[in-house]
Amino acid sequence: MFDQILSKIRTVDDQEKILEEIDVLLSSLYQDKGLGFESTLKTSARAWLYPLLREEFSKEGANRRNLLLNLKQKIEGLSKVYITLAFEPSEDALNRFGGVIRTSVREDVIISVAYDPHLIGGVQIIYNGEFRDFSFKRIFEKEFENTREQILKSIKN
Amino acid sequence: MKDFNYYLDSLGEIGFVEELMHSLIYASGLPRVHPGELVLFESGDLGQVFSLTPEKIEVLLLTRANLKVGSKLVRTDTRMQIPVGVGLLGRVIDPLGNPLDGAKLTDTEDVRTVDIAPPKIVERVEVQKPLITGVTLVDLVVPLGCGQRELVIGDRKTGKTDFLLQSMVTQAKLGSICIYAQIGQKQFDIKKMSEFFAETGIKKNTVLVASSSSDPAGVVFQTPYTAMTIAEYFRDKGLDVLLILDDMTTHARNYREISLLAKRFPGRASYPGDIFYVHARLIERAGNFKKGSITALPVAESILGDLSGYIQTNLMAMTDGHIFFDIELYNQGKRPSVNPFLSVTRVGHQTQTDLQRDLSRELSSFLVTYEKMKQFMHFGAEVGETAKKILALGNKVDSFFNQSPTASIPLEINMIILGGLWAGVWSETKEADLRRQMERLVLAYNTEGSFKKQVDDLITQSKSFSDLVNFIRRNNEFLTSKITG
Amino acid sequence: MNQDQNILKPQLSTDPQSLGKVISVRGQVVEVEFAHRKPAIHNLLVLESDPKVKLEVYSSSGTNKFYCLVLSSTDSLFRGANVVNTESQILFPVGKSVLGRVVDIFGDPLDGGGKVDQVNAIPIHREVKLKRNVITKQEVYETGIKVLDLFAPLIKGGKLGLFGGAGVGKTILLTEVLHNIVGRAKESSVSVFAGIGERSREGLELWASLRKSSVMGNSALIYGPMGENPAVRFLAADSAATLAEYFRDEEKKDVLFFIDNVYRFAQAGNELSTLTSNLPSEDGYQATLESEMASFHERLIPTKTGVISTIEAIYVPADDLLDHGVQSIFPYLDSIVVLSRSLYQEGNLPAVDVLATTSNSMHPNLVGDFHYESVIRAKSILKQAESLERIVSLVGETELTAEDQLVYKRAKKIKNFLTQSFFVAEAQRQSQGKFVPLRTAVEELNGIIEGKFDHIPEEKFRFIGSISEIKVE
Repeated sequence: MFDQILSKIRTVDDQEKILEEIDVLLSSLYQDKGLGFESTLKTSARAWLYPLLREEFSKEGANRRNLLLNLKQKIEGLSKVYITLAFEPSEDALNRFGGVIRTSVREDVIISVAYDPHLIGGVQIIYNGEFRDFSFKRIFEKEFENTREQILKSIKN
Repeated sequence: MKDFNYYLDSLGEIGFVEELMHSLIYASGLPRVHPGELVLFESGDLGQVFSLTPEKIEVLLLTRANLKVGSKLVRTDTRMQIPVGVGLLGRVIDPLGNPLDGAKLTDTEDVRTVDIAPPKIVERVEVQKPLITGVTLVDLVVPLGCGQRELVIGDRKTGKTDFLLQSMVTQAKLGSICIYAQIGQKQFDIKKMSEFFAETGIKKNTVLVASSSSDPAGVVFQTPYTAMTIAEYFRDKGLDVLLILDDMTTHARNYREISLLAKRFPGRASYPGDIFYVHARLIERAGNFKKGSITALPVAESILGDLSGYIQTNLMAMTDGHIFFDIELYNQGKRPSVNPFLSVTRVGHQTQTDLQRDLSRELSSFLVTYEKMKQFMHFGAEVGETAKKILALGNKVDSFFNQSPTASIPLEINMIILGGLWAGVWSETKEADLRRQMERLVLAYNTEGSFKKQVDDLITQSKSFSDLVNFIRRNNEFLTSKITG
Repeated sequence: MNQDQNILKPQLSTDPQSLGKVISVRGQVVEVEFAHRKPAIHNLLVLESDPKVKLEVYSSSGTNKFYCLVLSSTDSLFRGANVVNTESQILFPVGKSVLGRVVDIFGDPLDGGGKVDQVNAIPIHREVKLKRNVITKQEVYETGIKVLDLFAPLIKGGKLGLFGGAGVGKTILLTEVLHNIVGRAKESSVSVFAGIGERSREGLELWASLRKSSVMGNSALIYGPMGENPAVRFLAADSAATLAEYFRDEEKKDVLFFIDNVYRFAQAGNELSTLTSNLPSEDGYQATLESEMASFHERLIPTKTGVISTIEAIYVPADDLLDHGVQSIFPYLDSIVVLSRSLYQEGNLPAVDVLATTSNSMHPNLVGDFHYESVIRAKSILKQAESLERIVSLVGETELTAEDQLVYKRAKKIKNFLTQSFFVAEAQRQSQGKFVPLRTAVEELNGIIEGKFDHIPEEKFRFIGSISEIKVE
């Protein structure tokens, strides 16, 4: 169950929202003499989450609290990749992007996206303290450094 | 130091501030950073890596940073280094190597790492040359040698700084390089010190490394190490260097602050377990070497004259002796207030000539007798002739030792004057005139070439102190003519 | 270097099963994680990218994780760095090749000479499973220093401790003992000097002084001076003990083992333990202080093959004899000599506080009745004089009763008699060193007690050798 849930979490946003939902579930465990949980599960858990959880809870010897806490821990522990783009991508583009990262880095990473128009194009990636700059801005700067002398000369004339 | 983006680009690692705790911050990221490495923040602030844990790195701030959680930092792949060169002479710099007196640094031919291991015994040589301070009491009773580490200890306001400055002036005029490290002092004192060097004309032989008490703890911590590094540079040029560290008790408290913030377990007096090592590896870098010498005068403050404090005894265990400035003597009006019985020099006597050593011993033993005699006086008992004579001579010796903080007296004339005292030249002189007459002799020595030659020759010819005294007894005109003339 | 060559054996450096990863660095203590084959305590590890960086496994720090001491600079370490287990301990070269040399804890030369032969290098940590050999006939080593020979004689196979704060003369006293005994020792004895946490200048001067008196040939000096990191200072004790044991067990020699300064061994251990997460014990020291002291001292015992006689200098921080680190050393000593700052300041050198000095060897069976009686009586006189001191300072000596005056005067003479010029201080003091045979010392001490020298003024007794030197006018 865990792996299925984890694979559905794509971004840091997703992560935060799911964690919120789990917290709500945890706090409702003992409300209404234990009867509140079922209804909360139906209303609070999101569409794809609900059946997965339901299935897990109906198993033999399922301890709801422990299961939820374990799930929460796993979700909190997901590695994050921070991406800075020059513009806001579409939902589709984001998914494709995430897929690329997942195959090249690790399966269970989630992405956090930021926007900085100064990048002009391309992307900056930060993962585990490693920083890689594939932005157009950097390419231009490097170019400018190389041809600095020529450009300055031509401006003067 | 290049800029943030340069390091981000070339090293490809980034970190984020996670926790802020006064002078320490905890950051995530920077996977391959080394302990002791310098890190640069996006704001331009600088830090030094203190420890590494699996999740975080502990960074000691080196600038007054205004950081927030989430602030970015990068590796620089360099350790703490400072520029060194003759361009440092006459300048005031902070422990990071930045000038504090306006203009940029010039003529710095090299860069040196600040925290290095002390030299092994193969590079060392026994202490051989004397180090003249110009302060009579020290040069005659607690003499120092080039390459000695001598602790200058005493309560606050007992004249330690005056002594240090006198020594600096004397040594600078003899051609040594003098480096003064002000560790966490008041800003006002830093300015005063720099002006003093200019006024006394020794600026071109001095370097002042200063950190004020309002500087970040990491910067104050580096001050003596930076000063030592500069000293090593000049030593390697074949020079004799005088290094003053003012003061190490402040430095210890500063390191305690850093350690406690870093949650290192407190030991005795809440100091961290490695406080000894922090100071030892610094003090051990001074000494007499094949290339040159570094004489270190670390300063320690005592409280109510207690020499058995933890940091104080630690420093005594590292140094080759200590000069104790006694608050009791200071209150009695003695200047300098050096206590000759409680001060120790472990390698000073081996640098003295036979005559000097003989004189030292005679003088020290007289002082002990004089002291005993003074105690005896408390009983109000009848004072015999011998006792009277000792007391009279003792009084004059006290005057002899009393010295103005700006005077720097050459050893040779001191020896002659002492010989004169023993020979009875001043046995009839009133105390009020005594000091003035001695000063006249000093002046004559410094200004009249013929008198200087007389004195120097006499010193070379005398084989023992009694020889000297006997000669003066027989031919005291050469002295008396200068006093009255 | 031989040790590096051992490490680069093919199967070790490429075998991923024996690799560990650095996970944290705090001062000189590094945590290394071993996922597969775990190292043993005391194993020597090296950094894969730079074999000059050596670490020794200290203890566990969790499952699969180990605290390790870094024996060199930590500059090139980083998290994730690969560490290789050499599967052996730190090895120290033993044998005649070390005699006459000055080396560090690895046996590498510090005296500018060539490499020491590493063929017989053995691990420095030993399980102490030896049975102490009780020596029936105990011999005394004559040091020629009156106060020591009289009140705290050095027994062959025993341990003598010199306690004192900063600057009271421990090192100089130790050096004088070394100079006097080693200079007179026969070929059957060898001396090992461990310089733990002391000044490099002193190390240099000791080496020069030993060469000058031609006793360097039978001595080995092992230095871990105060400027070294705590791991090196901590292990210097073990390296030196390893060498001493070798000479005792394999070469069957009588070993004179000098340590300056055992306290620094405790202090180094303290520095290291504050960086591991062990809870601190009394006075902030490591919880393992007692066992560390024990395992070190219990290596220096007499066995069937030979004896190790130990003379150790012990620093007393802040002049506090009750300091826990200092107290942890007491149980292993046979003779305890205490140096006092007030005596030092009065110029009574060596500044030994006779009343605070005790010795197991002070027993008529060992030193003979005459010596024993004289010491008892001398101590009694000194004790009495101590209680009279107050009265004297208030009203003067002349106000005492005739009897008390006699005791007081004789006590002063004893104190003065115990002062002595050292050979090793000749450069500083410009007075010749003196060696006084034990017999003379006992006889003359007894003489003072008996009143044989009442007619000689007390100042004449200062810094002489034997009383026979005094010219009575």
